[in-house]
Amino acid sequence: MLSVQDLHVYYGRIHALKGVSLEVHAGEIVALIGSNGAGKTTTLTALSGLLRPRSGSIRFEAQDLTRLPVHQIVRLGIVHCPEGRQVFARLSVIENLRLAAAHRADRAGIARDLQRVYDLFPILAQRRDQYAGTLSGGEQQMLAIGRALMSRPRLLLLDEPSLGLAPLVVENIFRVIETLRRDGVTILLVEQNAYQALRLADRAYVLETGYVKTHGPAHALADDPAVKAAYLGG
Amino acid sequence: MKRLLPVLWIVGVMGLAALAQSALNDYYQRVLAVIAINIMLAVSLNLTNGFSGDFSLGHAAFMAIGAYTSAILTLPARTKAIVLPDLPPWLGQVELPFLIAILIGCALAGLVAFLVGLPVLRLRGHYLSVATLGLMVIVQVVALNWQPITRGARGISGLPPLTTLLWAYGLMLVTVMVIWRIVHSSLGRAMMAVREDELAAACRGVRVFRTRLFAFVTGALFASAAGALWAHLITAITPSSFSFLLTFNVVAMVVIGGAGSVSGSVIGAVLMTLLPELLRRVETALAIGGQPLYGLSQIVIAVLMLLVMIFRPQGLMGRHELIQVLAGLSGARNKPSSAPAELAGEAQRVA
Amino acid sequence: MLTPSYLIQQFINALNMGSIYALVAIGLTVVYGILRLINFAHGDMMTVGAYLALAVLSSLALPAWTALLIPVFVVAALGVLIERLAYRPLRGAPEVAMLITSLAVSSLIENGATMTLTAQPRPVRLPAELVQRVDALGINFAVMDGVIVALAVALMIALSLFVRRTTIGIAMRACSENVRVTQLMGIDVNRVIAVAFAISAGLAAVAGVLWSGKFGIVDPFMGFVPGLKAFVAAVIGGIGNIPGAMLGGYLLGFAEVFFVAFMPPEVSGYRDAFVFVLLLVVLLVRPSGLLGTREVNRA
Repeated sequence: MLSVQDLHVYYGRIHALKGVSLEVHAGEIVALIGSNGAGKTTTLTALSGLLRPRSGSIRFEAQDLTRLPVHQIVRLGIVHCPEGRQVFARLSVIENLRLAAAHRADRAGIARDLQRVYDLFPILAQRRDQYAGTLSGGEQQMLAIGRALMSRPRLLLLDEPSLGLAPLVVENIFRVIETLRRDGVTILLVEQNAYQALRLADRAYVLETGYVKTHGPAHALADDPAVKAAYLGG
Repeated sequence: MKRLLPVLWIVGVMGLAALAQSALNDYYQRVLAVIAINIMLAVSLNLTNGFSGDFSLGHAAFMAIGAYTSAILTLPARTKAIVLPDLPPWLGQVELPFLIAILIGCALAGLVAFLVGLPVLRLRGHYLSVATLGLMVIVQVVALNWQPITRGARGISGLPPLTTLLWAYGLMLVTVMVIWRIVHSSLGRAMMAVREDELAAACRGVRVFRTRLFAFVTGALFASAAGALWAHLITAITPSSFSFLLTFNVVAMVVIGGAGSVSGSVIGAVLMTLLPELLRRVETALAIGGQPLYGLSQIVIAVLMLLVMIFRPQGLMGRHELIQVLAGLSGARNKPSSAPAELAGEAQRVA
Repeated sequence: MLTPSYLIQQFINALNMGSIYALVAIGLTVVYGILRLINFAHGDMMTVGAYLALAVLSSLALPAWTALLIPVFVVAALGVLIERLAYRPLRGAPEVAMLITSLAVSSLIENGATMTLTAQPRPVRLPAELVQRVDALGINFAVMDGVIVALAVALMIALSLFVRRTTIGIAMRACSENVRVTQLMGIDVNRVIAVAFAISAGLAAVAGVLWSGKFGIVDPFMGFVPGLKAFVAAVIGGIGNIPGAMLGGYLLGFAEVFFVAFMPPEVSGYRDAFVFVLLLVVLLVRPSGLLGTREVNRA
């Protein structure tokens, strides 16, 4: 479904990705793990088009993404749910959700997806007309995911959905991710919580300072002594 | 050799100025003087707009302060009794030498810059742009309304023509050398650090607010001196002399020459003085139906600025100095000799 | 001197000035909110609008009400064009690049007008219906005064609804919070920015037409000082905030008119200085303005 070849990305003079290649197949959950600064978020940002790679290719199905404007990439079904939630604080919950569906024309589909978001996160229905800035951190993360769903993702790029949240909320979020997989959404997941990520994912890539260090089935990586030592706390 | 260089510059420039003063006619002398004044303006504006990264639009205001202050102080008491009869007596009597009058104007402009900078420079950089334009309006309004001191809209005329080429180029050299020294000192590096990343600069111990304020006030001092020179070159000033147009043209010199380069500002000032001078002839020559094309030269400047912003936003020189560029050209031939010199210079600065 | 009718007249004046400042300030704030651009060419949109209205009024072939409509649409298109040609190439460059560019655009418009139309101020002759005075609610005022306030208020209500209710309005608010994330919602940000510029320039054109109608005169530099003052209004209200710009506009209008009305004549000449001293005071005491969110230091 998604095929990334030899991706090089720079921030000014800093060489952040040094030839990353990865594949995501339809229906999979693929995890990207690695320590801070390994290039996980950078990879997602390049996929959604916010950062332009210096070289390398990103193909989604048959389409080359490297020259496409960000909003066109979203319209193909690649939806990026960014790190740190990034909900629009001065927009209400429903406005946040509506905005994410603004490029869609299927009114019935939008209404169905809105209902689905409210079913997944009932609290959002209650907070419908509140400013997103007044929500708690966990509620904002739910809104961020709900918002991504309103764009009708075929490939969902999820960046650190559990970061800074209470354990109960984290559990809830991961349950939702499994539900999404059952619904047929393909997910590329970036997680600092490598243990959770490997439990959830089908396959995983381990990034280190801009390179893919290793990759393989998630359960195999979870048993790999080197990965264990570095990312799973031994 | 390195120590001798400034002396050579002073002797060379002043010698040429003296020569020009005795050999050239009034028109060329005036153009040359305006070039020197514009260099002062551009180089001093560059201190904020290029080096510390705050975009000031206040140069016309500081020029006006320098021009009016020095004008009132140098005007002969007899003339003042006629044109400015309502001056307070102590001001009416006073008749100061040019240099003292200039310095007092500088002090006043510096004080005003300090007072404006105090609230504004704690904010996002571009608030300074609006606040300084506001300052320009304030200064113009005061000049227009403070009849006993400024004669309002009629302005002050009949100033002694004290601005000779020697004065203009002397003060220009002082300006350029002082600012060159500042820019190449630790203070200058602090300014550039603030420009690049305020937070990072603060973390490394740069006192951000003070650094920005210093750049702004210093720029104002030299703008004021340039204003005084200008007043005593033209010998007549009115509130409308110090309009936005003036500021805009100085900004154009800095932007086109290259914000962040002292020699860039010098080059920008020379170009942007000569170009309108030529275009003004075109304006009158191209008169359509007896109506000169006023505004044409400003339009050319504006278009030039737009093109520079789109195609070469760093300006002609970017952040490089002419000397570096020349050294770079010759460095291709004798690289080994220039590297140790650089190291020695670095060691001197560290010591 | 402080008769009731004098007070009422000053009040009407203040409402007029406030309405115009508010219209101009909204345009500045909308664009600033999204691009962090202090648009120095904004006041010149007033000038262009006023000249177009003058041309329509003196052509006689067109009905008088088109003297408002034509400038609005032409200037809105001009705003979009300027954004496309001058500002879009600088997207992502340091903030100051666009600011410099707006200075150049301003100079281009002012001097272009000077070159083609001369710097000579031109009188504006309003249709007779607008000049006559009426009595309403026990107050005597010129029809034009009423038109200014009514039109401004109507436009502000319309804009508020637009920004609350329509998708592109919500997208504009989202952009002013975070342009990058707005793109991730599948929104074409260039379209949002174009709409913002159209609204901004269109409102400035209305303000320019009203201004020239009130003062009866048009010249190439007429928009410069009101444009700057509108920035003061926007800062008072909290820059980037639309209701703030409206509030700031009216506050500034009242402050300015009452300064002139109640200060002795030898002081009232300092009106414009007063406005900018006010700016400095606001920046010192409450830089985020009355309704704004904090934005201290460069990001």
